[in-house]
Parts: sequence; C-alpha cells; structure tokens
Amino acid sequence: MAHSTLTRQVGVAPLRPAKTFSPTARAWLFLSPAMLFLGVLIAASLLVLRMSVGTKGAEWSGFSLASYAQLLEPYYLKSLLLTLRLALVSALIAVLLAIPVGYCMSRLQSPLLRRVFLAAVLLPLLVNLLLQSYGWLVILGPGGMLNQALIGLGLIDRPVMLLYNQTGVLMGLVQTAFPLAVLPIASAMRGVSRSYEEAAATLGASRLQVFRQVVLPMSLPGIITGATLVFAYNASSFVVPLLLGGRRVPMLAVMVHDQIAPLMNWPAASAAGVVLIVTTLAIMTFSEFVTGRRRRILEASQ
Amino acid sequence: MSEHDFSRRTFIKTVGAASVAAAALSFPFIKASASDMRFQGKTLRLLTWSDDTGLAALRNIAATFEAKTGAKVIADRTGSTSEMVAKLKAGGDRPQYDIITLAGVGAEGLASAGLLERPDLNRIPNLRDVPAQYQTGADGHGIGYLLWCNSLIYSTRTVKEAPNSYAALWDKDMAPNIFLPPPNWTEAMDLIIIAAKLAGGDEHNVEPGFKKLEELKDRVITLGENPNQIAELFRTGSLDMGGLYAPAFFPKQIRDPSYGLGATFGMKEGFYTDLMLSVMPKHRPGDTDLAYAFIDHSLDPLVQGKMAEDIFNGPVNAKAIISAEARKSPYILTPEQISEKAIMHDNAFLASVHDQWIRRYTEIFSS
Repeated sequence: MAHSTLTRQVGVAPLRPAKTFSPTARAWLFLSPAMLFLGVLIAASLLVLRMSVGTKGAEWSGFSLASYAQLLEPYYLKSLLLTLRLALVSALIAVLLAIPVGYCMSRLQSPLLRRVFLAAVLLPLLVNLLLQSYGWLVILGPGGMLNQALIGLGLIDRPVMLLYNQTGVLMGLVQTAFPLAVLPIASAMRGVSRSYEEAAATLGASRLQVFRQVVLPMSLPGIITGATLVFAYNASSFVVPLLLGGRRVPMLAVMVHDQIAPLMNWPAASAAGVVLIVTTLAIMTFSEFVTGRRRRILEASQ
Repeated sequence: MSEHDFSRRTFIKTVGAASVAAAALSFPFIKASASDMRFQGKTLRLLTWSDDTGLAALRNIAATFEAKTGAKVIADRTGSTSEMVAKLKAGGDRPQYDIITLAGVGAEGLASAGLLERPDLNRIPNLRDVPAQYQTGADGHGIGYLLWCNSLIYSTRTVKEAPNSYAALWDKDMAPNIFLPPPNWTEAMDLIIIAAKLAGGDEHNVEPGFKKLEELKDRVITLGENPNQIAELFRTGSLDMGGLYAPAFFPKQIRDPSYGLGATFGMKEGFYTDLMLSVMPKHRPGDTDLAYAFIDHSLDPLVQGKMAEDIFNGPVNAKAIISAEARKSPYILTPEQISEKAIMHDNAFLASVHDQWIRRYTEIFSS
C-alpha cells in the first residue's frame, strides 16, 4: 500500500516554484498582440509594394516598373502636388487653431471642464466622416444655412460655392483632423512647468510675451508632432475630397480609387499608394528630425 | 386555461394561414411554381450589391426563390462591383459564393482572371425570352440579369417639362446648376459619347465631345459620387438637372414629392444601358442545379417586372410583366421601350479607352 505524505521526503527533489518568465520575456509577451497587429499591417504594406511592380492581370507574377513611370505623367504629378499642398495647408491651419485650444485645455483647473473640452475636441473622431460631410452640406451647401442667411441679409444674390472645390475640401480636412493637432499640443503645453511662466512674469514679461517666448517654444515638439499627424492623416484622405470636393478635387487617394474601380489596375493603384506612403514617411522623418533636435536643445537648456 | 390555449392556437393558425394566403396573393408566381420543391433544405450563397438594387434583389428574387423552392439563400451584400471582384479574387480557388450579380465590367475582370464558369444556356429556360444582345456578357461567362438604365434627372420645381434631348444639359436658361457623373463611372463615358455626337463626332472621334463638355464646366456644381447627396441638393433647390444618372439610385426620393426629383428616359437620342450579369464562380460551394434554378428564376417574367417596378431597373426579359399602373410611370421601363430606345455599352471598346477618357474628364472638371 502506498503512503501518501504531506511532508517532503528526504532525498526527493524540492518542489519547483511556479514557472516565471524573465522581465525581458514578459515584456515581449506583453507586446506580442500589438506586434502581431503591426506585423499584419506591415505584411499588407509589403504586399502592396509587390503588387506595385506587377502588371495588370498578373499582379503577383509579373514584373514591371511601368506603374511608377506612369506616375511621372503630369496628370498624376499634379494630383500628388495638390495632395501635398492641401495636406500641408490643412496641417498649418489646424495647428494655428489648435494652439489656443491646447493652451486652454492645459491650463484648465476644473476636471469637469477639462473633460467637456476634451469631449468637444474628440467629437470629430467619434462621428462618422459621412455624417460630418452631410453636416458641411447642410451648413455650406448652395442651399445651406450660410448661403440662406447671406441671401436673406441681402449680402449676396447667388449662393456662394463653398463646397465642391478646394476650399470645401480644405475646411473638411482641417475639421476632421483637428483633434490630432489639439491632443499632442495640449499634452506638450501641460508639460511646460508653470514655474517658467511665473519666472518670466516676475522678470516683467507680459502674458503675450510669456506665451510667445516661453510656452510656445517649449511646446514646439508637441506642435510639430500635431502638424505631422494632421499632415499624414490628410495626405491619404479619401472620404473628404470625395464628398466635399464633389469629385472635382483630385487628391491622390481618389485617383487610387479610380485605378481600382473601374479600371481594375491594381499595380497602378498600388504604385500610387507606395508613392504616397514614401512621401508622407519622408516628411514625417524630417519632422521627427527637427523635433528631436529641438527636444535635445530644450533638454540641454534645462 | 385549456380554452384559452385553444383560442390562442386557433388565433395563431388563422394568422399563419392568412399570412401565407396574403404572401401567395402578393406573389402569384410563387403559387404557380410552388410544387418545385426538389431544392428543399439546400443552400445558395449569393453575393450582390449593398444598395437599393441589392435590397430589391433580396425582396423580389431571393425571397421568392426561397418560397418557391424551399432552398435557403444566404446573401452577402457587398458595396460595389469592384469590391465584389476583390472579394472573389481574394477567395481564389475556394470561392464562398454560388452566384454573384454584378456590372459587366466586373464580370469581364473575373472572366479574364479565369475565375468564372461558362454557364450552359440550355439549363436556363427563361433565357429564350431574352433578346440575344442581353442574354450573355463577359465573353459568355455572365447571364444577363437586368439593365442599369441611365436617364436625365431634373428638378420638377424648376424644369417644368421633362427634357427630350441631352442638349438640355447645355441649356443654361433651362438648367443653370447641373451635376454630372463622376469620372470613374461608365455613365461619364456615355456622356462623353453623347457630347461627341451632339458636337458632330462619335465614340471613335470624341475630341469634339471633350470640347463640348468644357462648356459645362462653370455650371457643374458637383460630379455626383454620392446619390444621397445629389438627392439632397435637389431637395434644397441647389440643382436643376443632371445626368447621366440612373433613377435606380433614387427609388425612395423620386416617390417623395419633397425632393422635387424627376427622371426621364424620353430623350430622342435614346438612353444608355449597362447589362448587369449573374455569374457562377468556378469551384463554388453549392449545388449546380440550384444555381441554374436561381438564375432562371431571376429571369422569370414576373420577377423581372417586379424588379423594374420596384427599383427602376430595365427588364431583360422581353415578356416581363409590368402592371398597367406602372406603365404610366416615366421611370419604369417596359420591354417595348427598351427594345425601341436602349443603347448598349460596348464594354470591350470602353475598356480600351477608359483610362484616357477618365483623365480627360477629370482634368476638364477639376476645380
């Protein structure tokens, strides 16, 4: 009959504690879902890259650089330049509008007010882009509220066309990407210690001077990050130019769409997509370089 | 208690019988073929559009087919033809669908990729009533299903009489504010041909057409990518006319007087149509007889008539049954009107010029 005992017998190997992972392994384990997700995205990008050097009808087996050569034609170059210009201008406008909002958010004392502000800023991210475009239609359309008010006041005879052109698209780009500018700017401004402002004020600087010469330079990394995010987001914008541009503002993402439907030219669409990604990445890298330099200067001065 | 139970059961039975009777009365063609139950319990997987045409196909084709045969139709309503093409291509050798209904250009793409089976026309009895030019497409890989018919759309508030020529688009007194189709749509290609013909050219000599289209640039409010937005612009009085555009985009709005939306197929030059096709992928998962039965059912004269009345698509069946009431409508096309005035796309020719024409059209109307 076998005896079972609760005490450890002499000579028997000690009970091993539960298996633990090293801190490095734990970190990798923790990161693995995110890395898996990123891996899928990167794989998709690589597939697009492969398709871009394929040929129509032989996307996976063919090899040709014709799709890239086609992008050098004025039709596509104009579209690329228009895309970059609208993305850049929208980033500048969004940042200019976001700076006061971000400053306000960073200096709010009441948690309730801060939450209300945050919710208001985040609203465009929560509402469907299609609905937002309908909102613009109701306000700015030829028969919209603004035109009706202006005609009612006798200021204009015919409706002003604010939609279905570059102005309309620009407004849409700024509005939809606004939260991406506000959040990093507010975060950067919250990081600027009040003691700097107090020191500047003590030395006789006016509020405007404090803002311009202390808060703004110290928040520059956040401002550049905000601008970069808006630029990248808007460079690939599709719904806004499609709906608010009335198909009359040929941004590159819309051209990509045209290549897929109805032309079924996947290599041309992929090549345009790759060019857009590379251009955006190049600009983001430059911005990161400038931000990093600025950050290092700030750290050195502190 | 038992009396209560009995009453409830009787009530349920009565309501059930009444529902079946009402359904049978609404769909007499179900009753006519109700004995064909050899597909009982089988499943057919259908891929169709997500728009009103797709919904109407579920109501008028899939639901009646289920009632007639006892088979189950599992429908996937995907956005557009190109999305359907992408979905089927992604499936490779293992497609998830037995039947796909899509535009001709999509079917051609799938056929050239070798993903479609060429159907046996002898297994589709209703095809004998379909005129030869609408029977097949995509090099014999697709069966004609319905005609996507493009009209001139106009505001019933500002345009008092339905235009009888495409030249109305160039009449700025009649229609100061217009919309045109977006460049990537086949409708834009048809408009280029129409403009060319109005300017003395034709589809092989389109240069005069592009010059004529340039005359419209300042009056074009938008190139209507989104039909709901177009309807809204008509409702708010911002548009007077536009096209080519299918009334099938506006089945609800045209019936709602608040939109002031009218459409006409009565142009003396005729109206352009695109043949929509039913295709069968190779290696499809379901029963082949069932797939043929479904295609045949979609060509049934009553089903074709219902689709035409419901969604303003043109029937391909020359014997499509259109009610006397519907025949009075300017938006509902009869087989006779189609035979008289419908102009078919030459998809093969359009495919050869599509890329260049899209560019020219985009450049003309870029803001």
